[in-house]
Amino acid sequence: MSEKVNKGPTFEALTDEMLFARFKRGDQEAFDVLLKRYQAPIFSLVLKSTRNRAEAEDLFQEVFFKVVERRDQFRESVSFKAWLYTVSRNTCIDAARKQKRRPATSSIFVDEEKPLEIRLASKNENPLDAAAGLELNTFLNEAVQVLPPEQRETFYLKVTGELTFEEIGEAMNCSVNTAKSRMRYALERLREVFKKRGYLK
Amino acid sequence: MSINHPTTEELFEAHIKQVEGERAREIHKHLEACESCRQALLDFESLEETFKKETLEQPSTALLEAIRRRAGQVMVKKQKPGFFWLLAPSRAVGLVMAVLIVAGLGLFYKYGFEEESLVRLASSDREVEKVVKKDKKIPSQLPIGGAEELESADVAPPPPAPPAAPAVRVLTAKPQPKERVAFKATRPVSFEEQKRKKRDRYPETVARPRGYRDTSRVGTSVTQILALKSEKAAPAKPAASLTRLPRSELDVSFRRALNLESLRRYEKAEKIFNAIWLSDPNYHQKEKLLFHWAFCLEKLGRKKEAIKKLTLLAKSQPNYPGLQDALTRLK
Repeated sequence: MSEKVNKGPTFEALTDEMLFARFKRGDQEAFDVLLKRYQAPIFSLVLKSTRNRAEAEDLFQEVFFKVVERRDQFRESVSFKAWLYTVSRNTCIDAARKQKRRPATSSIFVDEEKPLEIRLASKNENPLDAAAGLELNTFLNEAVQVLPPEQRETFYLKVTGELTFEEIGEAMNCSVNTAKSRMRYALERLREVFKKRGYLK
Repeated sequence: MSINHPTTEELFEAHIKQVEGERAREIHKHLEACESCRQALLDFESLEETFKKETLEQPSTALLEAIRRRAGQVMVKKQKPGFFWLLAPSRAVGLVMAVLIVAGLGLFYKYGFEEESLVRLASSDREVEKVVKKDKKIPSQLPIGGAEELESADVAPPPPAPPAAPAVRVLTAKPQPKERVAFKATRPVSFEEQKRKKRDRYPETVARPRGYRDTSRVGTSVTQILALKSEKAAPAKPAASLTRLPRSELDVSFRRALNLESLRRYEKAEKIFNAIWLSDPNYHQKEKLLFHWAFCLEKLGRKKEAIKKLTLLAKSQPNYPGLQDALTRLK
């Protein structure tokens, strides 16, 4: 007769910090749960930074290797999410700096002063439909290029990473109010761009 | 309907749901009535939602698997450091290097300074000779006896100029490591042979000695402090006998002795004074030698011997400056 052993709360119910503490004690399963939780947002962030899937995969791998190797540097008082995004951000910035020597590609962390070239099918279309027709991701990514790097980064951390403003402040080493202001300016600017192109009323 | 539109900042705060209290109610009321403000708020939400939905990408499962594997390996390594941790090639090399560096530093502190090593080795006449040989061309230090003695020491006739060819050879000769000197000192035969050969090859040479250090600048330097420490730690054994010094080296040795005296290394200085006296009782700076020798003896607590030297000095030069004071003090 098999008896189910009570392992306490399931891993999914645990906070990031609890899971990471377990991982530090050698619990591999806890790491798997964390990886599952953050694989999509971190990979998306990294992909936006590199705009190249192969490079993004390398960076994504590097981010999690760093998390594993620097596990002892993590302080319990800090949000794991903020720490993870700090590691990701720094990894992306390093990669972007290296890439500056090579032919430039767009990065959310580097201001390239690239002119906005949003390819539109029709001004009268619904913005989402129009974007879908043109390859939505490309459209949105290019739209975001009008933002200064700090605003762009804040926007991605908030929207894609779903970080709180406190966490964004920690990750970007700025105050909560600065993070909020950057987000507000980013939304205003994007709204203007979308309106100008006829996507928003 | 309120005609006071909320600012974009307030709209944004409403969007992130951070407006509280009375102002929140006012904004809500305004939004119900104001189409443009409501639209602005909807635009914010629409933008965020669009980005959130459409930009999330998933990494490949192979990549995730590789990361999991790596994390697992790291954790396994962490759990099993044990003894074999030290045997990893890079760590083993590092460990050996660390041991060598520590050993090297230890040796440097033990033998690194010429002064200390001489004091430590000063247990036989052979070593006294070595000191004398090493001290060629070292400028004299302040003698205790007075300024005029210093001047006379400084203007002492230099040793005769060496022949041209050997001088060139000496100047181009590479200095040998200090450890090697100490090592050879433990082998009397080879040391003697080497010394004799050198003397034959470079008679009366004025070349810079091995491990030469300009001690004229030494005040309360580390060297001096360490010298005093090493004197305390390892007091030199009294010499059984003193070998006579070659005449050509007497001046250099005398200056060396004065130098040591000024460094308060009286025992060493006394040995050299003694060696000079044995080599040449009619040394041209005999009076000065006797005076300083007596001073060293006094400092070493050998007052009777000091008085003897001063008495000798009084016989040859009764008006030697400071002689009467010294005699009075000793008696």
